[in-house]
Amino acid sequence: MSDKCIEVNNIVSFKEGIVVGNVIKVPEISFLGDVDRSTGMIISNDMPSYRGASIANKILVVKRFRGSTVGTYILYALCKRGLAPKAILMSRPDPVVIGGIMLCDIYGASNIPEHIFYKLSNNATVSIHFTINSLKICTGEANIG
Amino acid sequence: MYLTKDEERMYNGEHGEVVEKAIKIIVKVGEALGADRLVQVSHAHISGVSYFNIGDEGLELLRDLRDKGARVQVYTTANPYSLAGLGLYKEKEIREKQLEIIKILTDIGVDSQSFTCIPYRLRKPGLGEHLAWAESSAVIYANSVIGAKTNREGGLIALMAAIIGRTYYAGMHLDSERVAKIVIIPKFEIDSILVASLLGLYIGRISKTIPYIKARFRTQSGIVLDIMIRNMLASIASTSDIPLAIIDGITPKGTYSVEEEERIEIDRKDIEEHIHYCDSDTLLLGCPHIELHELQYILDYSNMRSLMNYGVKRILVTMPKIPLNAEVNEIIQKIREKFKISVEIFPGACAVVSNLSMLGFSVIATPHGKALHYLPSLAGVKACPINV
Repeated sequence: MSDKCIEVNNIVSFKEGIVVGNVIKVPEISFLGDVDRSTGMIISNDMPSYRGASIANKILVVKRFRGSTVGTYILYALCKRGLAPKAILMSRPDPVVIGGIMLCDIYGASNIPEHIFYKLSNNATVSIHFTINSLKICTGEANIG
Repeated sequence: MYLTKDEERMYNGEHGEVVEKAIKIIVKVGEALGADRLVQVSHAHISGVSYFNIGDEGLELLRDLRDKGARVQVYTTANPYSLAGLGLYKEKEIREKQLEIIKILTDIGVDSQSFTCIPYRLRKPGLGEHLAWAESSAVIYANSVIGAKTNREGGLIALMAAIIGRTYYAGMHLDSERVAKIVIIPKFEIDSILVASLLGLYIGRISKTIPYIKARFRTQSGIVLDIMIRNMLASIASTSDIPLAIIDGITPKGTYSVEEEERIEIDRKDIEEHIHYCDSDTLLLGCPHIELHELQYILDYSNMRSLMNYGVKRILVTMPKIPLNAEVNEIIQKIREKFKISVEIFPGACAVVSNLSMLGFSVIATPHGKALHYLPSLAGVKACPINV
């Protein structure tokens, strides 16, 4: 079933290991203002199609983060409440979010090519195997080899 | 990433859990941004000090770090706190939590006399010096006016950098990244703080990259010139994520290069396009902070009669923690007697990061672009542009 797996190299991952979860992909998001820190839900009016969706325990896939440096604290708050994403994949590196990921000790990776963003579908269950500078994303029944 | 022997020891936890966490964060951020090593910094500046901004979670994180023994390795300053730090809110919890944040930061080793957004006035960095500063308006001033080198660090990253005395060697630390590609020519003279601010807000909106600004400033006073530049830069940093703007004749030569790809001329009417003038009885001065001698100059030379006619009854001034002198006290008293305007000083505080609607304000007038940009979203009040 290896055809259902995608390997991505030359990325920067923040923790090694395997995580399984459901994808929520958002082109652009800010932790300050777009996400409710007490529920983990997306509350932004700027993205009506995502409003009410939760990022809690999901695989959050984002092209770029924007906005305030307070984002680190919001992510930390979500972690403390058990509402953080299981993993965060981002294309454009964002120090604010990377700091939050490291403090929370959750899975994540940066410098993911944008075409990967389009290959993943919302709500799909995926397993991701993170190594230091690569990752392997498998969908459906595919096993991680 | 290449690490020195000392850095290896930090990374392996030989200097404790907090240092290990801090260097791992800086290394990962650096790797993601293409850095191949770290660089020692001489001064860190932390943002995220207002309780209204960082909330209980920020406070909790700072408390965790302090309790685990976090301690800064280099000279470290912090941004201003909210007005709750001066006891202004009737809610005891807000006041106490703001004071606890201040206490934790000083416990960690932040200069207790700082709490200002103009840290370059407390300790002026040298030319080419490497810094790890948060606070976008201070970052852009350090890079553009002083010729020092700092990225626009987040509040937490600056704190981590302070704890290890280093940051990642990428971005503005590299000469190859300090390149202006867009030349901006305002076709008018910049003759007030308000015009400098509106121009800055506009430049931030239209620049996707580091601009080279050929501006003409008109003032007889070096004090006013610096305030105008500070406000233009702070405004650029409000509407963009740009860390450096080259100003013709101001930015030290040798700290940047220019590779023109685009040239934009700006008319006076462009900068006023989205501006709505309105009325307020309260004027805010000091965003970014102004120093005592600058306040004195503004109060001396501003047309208080026209402010009175405009309806101003209060002037709120946010500035560094410096005691007022007799001279300024006398000016303040005169203004109260002659124009019925009260001048209120808030040392070490920032109005923009304070919930002003909770204090009963609904509209604030200000000449500062950064305040005009952030007051509605952060402080919950309407902002009116005004000339002083």
